[in-house]
Amino acid sequence: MHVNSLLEAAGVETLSVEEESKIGIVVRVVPEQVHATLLALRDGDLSFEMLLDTFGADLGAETELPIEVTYHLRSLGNGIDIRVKTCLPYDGEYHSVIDIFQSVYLPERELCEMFGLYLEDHPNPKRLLTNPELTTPLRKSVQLRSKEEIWSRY
Amino acid sequence: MEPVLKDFDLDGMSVDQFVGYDNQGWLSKEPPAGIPVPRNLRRIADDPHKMSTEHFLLNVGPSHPSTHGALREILELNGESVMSSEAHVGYLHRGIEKLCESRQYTHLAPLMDRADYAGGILPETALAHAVENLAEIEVPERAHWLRAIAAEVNRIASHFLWLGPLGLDSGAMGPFLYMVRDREILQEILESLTGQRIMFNYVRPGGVFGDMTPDAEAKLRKWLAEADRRMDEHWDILAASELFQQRVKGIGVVSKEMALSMGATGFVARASGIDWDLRRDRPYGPYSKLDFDVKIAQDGDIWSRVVVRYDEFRQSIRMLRQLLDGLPEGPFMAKLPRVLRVPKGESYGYVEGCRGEIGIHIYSDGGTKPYRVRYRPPILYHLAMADTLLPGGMIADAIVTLASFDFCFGEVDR
Amino acid sequence: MNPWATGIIHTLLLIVIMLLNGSMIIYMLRKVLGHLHLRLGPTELGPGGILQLVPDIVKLLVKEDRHPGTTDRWLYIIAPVIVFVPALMAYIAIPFSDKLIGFDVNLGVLMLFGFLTVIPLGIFAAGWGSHNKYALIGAMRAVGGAISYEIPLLLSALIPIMLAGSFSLKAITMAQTTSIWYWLPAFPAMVIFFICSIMETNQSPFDMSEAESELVSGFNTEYSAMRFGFMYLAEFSNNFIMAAIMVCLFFGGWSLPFIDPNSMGVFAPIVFIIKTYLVIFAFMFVRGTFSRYRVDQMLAFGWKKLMPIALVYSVVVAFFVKLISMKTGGGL
Repeated sequence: MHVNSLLEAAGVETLSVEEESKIGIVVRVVPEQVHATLLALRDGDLSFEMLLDTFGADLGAETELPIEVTYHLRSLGNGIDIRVKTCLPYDGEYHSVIDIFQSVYLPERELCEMFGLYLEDHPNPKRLLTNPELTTPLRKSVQLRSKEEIWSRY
Repeated sequence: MEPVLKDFDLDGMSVDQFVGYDNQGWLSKEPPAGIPVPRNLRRIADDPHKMSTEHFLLNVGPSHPSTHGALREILELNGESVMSSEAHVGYLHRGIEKLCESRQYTHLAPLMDRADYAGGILPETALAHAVENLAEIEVPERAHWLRAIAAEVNRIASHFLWLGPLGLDSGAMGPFLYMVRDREILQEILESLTGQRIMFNYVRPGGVFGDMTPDAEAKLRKWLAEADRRMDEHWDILAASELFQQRVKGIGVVSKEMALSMGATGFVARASGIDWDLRRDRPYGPYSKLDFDVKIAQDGDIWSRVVVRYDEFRQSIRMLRQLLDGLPEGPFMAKLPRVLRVPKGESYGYVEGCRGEIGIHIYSDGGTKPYRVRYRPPILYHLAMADTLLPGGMIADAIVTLASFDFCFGEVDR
Repeated sequence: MNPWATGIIHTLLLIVIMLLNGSMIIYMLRKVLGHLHLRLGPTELGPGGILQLVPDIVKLLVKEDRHPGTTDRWLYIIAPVIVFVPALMAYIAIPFSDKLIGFDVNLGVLMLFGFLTVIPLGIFAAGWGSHNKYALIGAMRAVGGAISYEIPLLLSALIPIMLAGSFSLKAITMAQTTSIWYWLPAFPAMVIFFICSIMETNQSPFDMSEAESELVSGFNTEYSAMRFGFMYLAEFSNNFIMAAIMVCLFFGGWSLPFIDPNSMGVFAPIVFIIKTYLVIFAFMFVRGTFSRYRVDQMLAFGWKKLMPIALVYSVVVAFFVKLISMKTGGGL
């Protein structure tokens, strides 16, 4: 596949490059290779010039590296979408890719705040959406309050 | 524990908001030296004693007549010029993405409404696309067309809600009421169609909730008959005025490189020269059968955005005429089980929203409730652009620039 | 009669005129702006909403007068007074008819403009004394704008003065009854005077000092109840005074075209007031139509466009006045 050869030519070691049926091409890498992957995709001849979205998902505490971070890139000229996925541990270090794509300025803050990651290399590493009392809301260990609990509060 | 208000001191001169960010352990405090910080993205100084003594901080606070919704901008001002700015958001965070994990797939639509509250049909459509993609549901043709009708009416209503306050922020109080008059008519149309004026809960995975009523169709045709004349009137009272043009031309320029690297989509990208419209380039629903143009402007300033949006008005009106005339017969909802069970996997549903590309990424584990729902807010990326655009202008420019991006804080904060 | 008694009676009469004028302008403003904005304005109380003013005044009187603890106490208290008193005093020199004038001062126009110049000082005191950054920005803008628009104002007012040969408003009006009204020979001056009066009264499109959408109410953010009522009333009477000066300078005061001015009797003040309110109507029409200027664009407009035009035109008019007076051997 073109993406595979592109990444090998740039010297990036990927875990897998697949074409999933519902969402398109997915490239899985280890966290240390994320920077090189995104750089290769942006500067290669497929020129993915837009990073549309950066988000995470908590795959559950049983998985070895539970927090899966997805980068959604798009090449406007070729009309292709590609997703780059990495996996990080709870309370792991997350290195910002803001020097490649500036669109991650706010989403990375939200990602680290929602899942509890240490945000490195970012110019403004503050929390974005929540208060300090509300810690890591999107992790699966944080439960929503049940109806009975809310009604019984007063 | 009611996480509604931030614990920052809202007095702009307080020292607390600079000394020590809320270091809860997993957000690091200092950016290390040597990292190439993007141009104009600099933090407001840690130590207020190091700031120059002639700058002062103005807190364009969460409740202000001109921040559309709850946005707190801290502007460092030198007289009237803005030296740096920082946006604080999160006043409207309701945990929509977390709440989605506890609801069944057909009950997610009201949550999506409340994310983008000005144009509610469009996020619902994105969610429906995502679920239908994953569960491989066949949606009847009439449902696609009804979704498109509701979407275009909603798009025009949302654009009115942007254009009126843009006029208000630049000083003209009159045009706002003209826009409100037209928006009322459109909301009545949507009420006849969906039963609600603003939080529709109309588009469900598998189709739509109700059929087109003769009342809605009559009202829509009546409005379409004079829609062009009304749009000319709106152009004359606001955009054709020299004073307004003088306020917005050359201000808030988003270059094409900035738009690409900041992830701008929708009308902001089109005003900067990026030729991309999801309805034309990745058509969904009936849009491949409709005849419409997409306007691209090259300058990237506020005036280009106004022009691109005015053209979107006219194209929506044109599309509505074609949609009403070509509405096919048939059922409006697919036959689905009462409790929808979706197979395991991930999928992505997208629409060309009022403000950009709304993308909903669903992780499913095979059950009746989604595992993770990610709502891609188009405006979050535009807000990051605002922080680089405001320095260098004046307060008046800052207000008008913020108004021109069409912020809807339900989307930014979710 | 005892001059003290006449003085007090005159003052009370002027205060009554000011209050009546304020109420009339408030009603007119709401109705005119309402209809421009596709709505009706007040309609409930009284026929056509005339009595809407009464609950408004009562509200302003009974509201609690709170102020933040950090205000500069003396400046905060004295600012509404500085804004209000000149607006009241300026009614003295306005000729409602040839007999109804408070005091026919020789230098009527200069005295009036002197009074009106004090008002930006009051606005600045209000902005500074409020200890509020929004108020400060609004006050600075108001002062900057007022100062830079006073020069074209005075220059354009100089032209009817030259044409009439006197500074007194009554003399200028009487001079217009013998020749044509001055708006025709001094047309650029009339336009410049109109624009500068909009600035001096802090109305749209020049209302950046109280720009409601940028600075939350500008210099009177921290004022409530009757202090705010004072400044509001002062703004309306300022409106009336600028319109009255414009009518006297350019539109012939209380006179009508073909009628002997001395025989108008009781109709003279009525005609004067109608003409003044027509000018105020024009102010309101402009107010409801246009966007607001940005501060630097407004200052550039005043200094770079209005002032040179006013200067050049006053030189041209002076030249022609001298020419005509040399030819006819006397004044116009």
